[in-house]
Amino acid sequence: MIGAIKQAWANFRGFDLTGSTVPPMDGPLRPNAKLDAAPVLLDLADVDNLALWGQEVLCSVGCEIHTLAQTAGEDGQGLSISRSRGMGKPVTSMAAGADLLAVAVEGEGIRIESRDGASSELIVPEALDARCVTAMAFADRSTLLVAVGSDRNPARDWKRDLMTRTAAGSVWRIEIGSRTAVPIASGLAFPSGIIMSKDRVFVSEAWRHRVLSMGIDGSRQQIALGSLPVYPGRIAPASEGGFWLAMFAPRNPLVEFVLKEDEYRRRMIETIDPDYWIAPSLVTGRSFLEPIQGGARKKLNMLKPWSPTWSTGLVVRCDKDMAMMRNYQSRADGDVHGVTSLCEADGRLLVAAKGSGKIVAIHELAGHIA
Amino acid sequence: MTPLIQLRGVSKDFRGVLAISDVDFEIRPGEIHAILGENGAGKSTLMKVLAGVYQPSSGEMLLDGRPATLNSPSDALDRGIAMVFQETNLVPSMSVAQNIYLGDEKLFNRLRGLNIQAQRYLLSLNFYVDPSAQVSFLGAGKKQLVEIARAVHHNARLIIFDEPTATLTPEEKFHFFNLARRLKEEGIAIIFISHALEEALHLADRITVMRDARVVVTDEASKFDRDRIVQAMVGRSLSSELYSGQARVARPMGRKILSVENLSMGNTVRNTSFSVFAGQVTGLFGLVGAGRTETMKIVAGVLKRDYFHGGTVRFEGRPVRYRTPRPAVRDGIVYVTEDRKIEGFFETMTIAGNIQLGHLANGYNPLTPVAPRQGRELAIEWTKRLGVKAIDADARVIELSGGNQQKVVLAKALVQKPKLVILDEPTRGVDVGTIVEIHNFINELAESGMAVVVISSYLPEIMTLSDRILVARQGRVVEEMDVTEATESRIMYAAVH
Repeated sequence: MIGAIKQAWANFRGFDLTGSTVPPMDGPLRPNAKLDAAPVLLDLADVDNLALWGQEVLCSVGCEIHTLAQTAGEDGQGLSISRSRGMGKPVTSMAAGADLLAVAVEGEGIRIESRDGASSELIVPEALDARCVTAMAFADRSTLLVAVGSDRNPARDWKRDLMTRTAAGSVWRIEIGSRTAVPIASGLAFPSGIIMSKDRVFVSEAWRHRVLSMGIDGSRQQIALGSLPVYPGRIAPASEGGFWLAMFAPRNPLVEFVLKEDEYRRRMIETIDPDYWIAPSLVTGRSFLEPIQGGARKKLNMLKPWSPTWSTGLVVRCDKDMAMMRNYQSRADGDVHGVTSLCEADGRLLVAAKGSGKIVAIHELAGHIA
Repeated sequence: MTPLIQLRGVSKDFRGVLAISDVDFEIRPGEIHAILGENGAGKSTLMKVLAGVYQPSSGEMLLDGRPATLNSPSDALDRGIAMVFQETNLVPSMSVAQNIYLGDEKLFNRLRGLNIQAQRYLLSLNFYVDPSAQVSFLGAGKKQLVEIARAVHHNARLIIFDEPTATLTPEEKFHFFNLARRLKEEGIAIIFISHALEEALHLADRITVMRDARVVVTDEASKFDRDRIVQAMVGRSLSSELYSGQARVARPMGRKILSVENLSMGNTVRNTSFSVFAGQVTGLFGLVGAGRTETMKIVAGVLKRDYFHGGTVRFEGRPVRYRTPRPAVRDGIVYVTEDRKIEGFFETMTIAGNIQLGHLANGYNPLTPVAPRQGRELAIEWTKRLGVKAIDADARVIELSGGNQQKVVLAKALVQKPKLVILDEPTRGVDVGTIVEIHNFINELAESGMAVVVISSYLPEIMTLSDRILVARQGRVVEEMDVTEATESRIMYAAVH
C-alpha cells in the first residue's frame, strides 16, 4: 500500500523511484580504443551478418550475400568481395552449419542451402514471423535455432520495437528435415543473438540487457549475464572456448528516462523521424538534427570519448558460462560503431560494424586480462 | 643530563599475564622518543604506567632523579605528564572550546570569550578546527587534534601520544610534526607510539622497540632503518612479506556482485558509479573527503542515499535500498568499520559475546535461538581461525591489543557468512606482524570466491592487496585500474587531479 502511494506520488511529481541509471562500464567492460586500433579489412556500408561457411567468409548487405576473399595487397590482410548474389529481399540473419547455410529473408522465410549447391529450399514455418529473424544457430546438422526479435516490427525497425517497449520476441527450434517449427521461449524483449553450447542455449535479450541460458526445449531459463550497460546482440563461438558477444548499441540514462515517459515517447514516435529519436543508434554524428547534448559532448571542439552517446562499438569476450572476460571498444569519439556480427576466420576475429560500415579484425584471440 | 623519567625493572601483570616485564626505560627532557612494537608488545601498557593510569606490579620509577609513584592520571598531570589516548577522552556533547578548557573553568564563563580564546590557541597550533563545533560531530582526525591541543594546553613537561597520526590527514600530520618539533624546542619531551615506521624514523630522536612485553632495543633514530626496526619488532624480516612491491597477477573477475549506479548523497557522494566482482579484492583509494567511506556505508545501509535521484545500488543484479544495516547483513553485505572502538565492538563484552552478536545479526529467529554453547563454539572457532591472542574467549575485548581487537571485529563480521565484505582501513592502528596476518586472511577470503572491498589511505597497502583499484575523488570514483598496470604515482595523480 505504501509502495503504491509512493509510486503514485512519484508519478505525479515526475520522480522515478527505481532510477533511470545505467550500470557502469567497468571491470571487464573498462573503456579502451582497441576496436579503433584494429585494422580495417573492408569498408562496406550496411554490412551486417558474417558467417564462416567451410573456408568461405560470407557477409550480408541489404538484399545481397557477398563472399569475401583475402586481397593480395602489400600485407595481404584486407578483404574484398569476390562473389555476390541477390536474395530478392533483405537478409536479416545468416547461420552456417557444417554443410548447410541458413539465410533468413525478410518476409519470406528461411532459405536452407547445401554447400555443393545441390539443394536450396525455403522453409516458411506457419507460426514464425519471418520479418524479424534476428539470429540463427545450428544446434546440430538438422536442427536450427531461430531468434525472432519481434512479431510486431520488422528487424530493420528495431528502434521502434524498443521505444514502444514491445516484448514480443520468441525463440524457435526448427527441424529442417520435417520443416516443423517449435517455439521454445516467448514473451522475450527482442532476442537478438542465439548460440548452442553443449546442452544449453544462450539467447541475448536486448531490451532487457541480458543474456539468458535455457535448455533446448526452453526449460531451465536463467540469466547468464545480466544488468548490462549495452544492448547485447549476436553471439559467435570462440575457437579457444567460450563466446564472442556483439553489443550493438549503448544504454543511455536519457533513453532510460524516455522509456519511462510513455506520453512523451508516444508523441516522439508519432511526430519525429526515427533517425532523430532519443533512442540508441548504430551510428551517430551523421546529422546535426540528431538529439545530441552538444555542450556535454565536445571540449575545445574535440569529441570527448566519454561523452554521452547513442552509439558505440563493443565486442566482449565471454567464457563458457557467458561471464565477461575482456572487451574491445570504440568509444564516443571512435569510428567502429554498431557492431552487429562477429566471426572467427584465419586465426582472427572479423567484426562487422554495421553502423560505421566496415569490417575490422582482432588478432588477439587469447588472453584473459581486460 | 638527569632523565625526566626513569623506569628500572618495571613489570605489570594482568591476571597473572605479564603486559610489560622488567622494563628499563628513560626519557630525557626535550627529546622526541618513538615507541614501536607489534600489537600486544606492551607499548600502551608502558605508556599508561608512565601516565599514572596503571601502577607497576614491581620495579621503580624515578621522576627528575627522585623515586616517585603516580597514583592517577590527574596526579601525573599535576607533575607535568599528559597523555593523549588512542581513543579520545573528549566529552562528545560539549564544544571544542569547552573541551580544551575543561577543568580550567572560572566562576563565570563567557562562551563567546572562550571560543575566541580557543580559536586563537588552535590557530597558534595550526589546527583548523571550529571551536564552537560540538565534538560529537567532528571526524576522528579533528577529535585527535582537539585532544592534542588539550594536552599541550596543560603545560605538560612530557606529552605521551598513543598513535597520534593514525587518523590525521597528510596535511594535519605535517602540522603535527611541526608542533612536535616546536614543543621539543621549548624543552618538552614527547613520547609517541606509532605503527608508521617512516614517521618514527623521520621525527624521533631516539627509538625504543618492544617485543613480547620487553624492551628489545633503544637507540638513536639515525642508527635505525626500516628493516632493522621490523626485525627488532617481529624477530624476523617482514619486508619481503609486506608491501613487497613485486609485480603480481590479478585474480580473475568472478560474477558481478555489486553495481553502484549514479549514487548520490548530498555533497559527499556525487553521482558515483562502479562495480565489484566476486573472487577479487577491489581496493578503493582516495584522499580524505573523497567520499569512499560514505559510499560504502550507503551500500551497507549505514547511511541513506538521496531519496530523489540518489542513484541505484544493485546487489547480485537486484536493486536494493537499505534503510538500516540489518537487511544488508541478511542479504550478505557486511561493513567493517574504520573506527573499531566506537562502531566495531562492545568493549566491555567478551570476545565470544561479540562474535555471537555478529552471528545473531545474520537472521536471528526468536523461535530457534542460537544455543549459548553453539554460539560459544562458533566464537572459539573464529578466534582460532583468526589467531586472536587472548587468555580465552571470555577475555573482554577492551583488554586486547589493537590488532587483536581488529581480528575480533573481523570475526564478528565474517561469522555472518557474507558475500560482500567491505573493510574500511582494515590495518589502521595495527602492528606490522598482524598486518601480514590480516592481509593473508583478506586474500583467503577473495580466493574463496567472496567479493572484498578494501578502503585504504595507504598506497602500498592498496597496491599489495588489490586485484583491481578504484580511485575516488571529490565524492566519485574517477579511475579504475588493474593492479598490474597501477603505479603509486598514477593512483595519486588520479586521486588529486
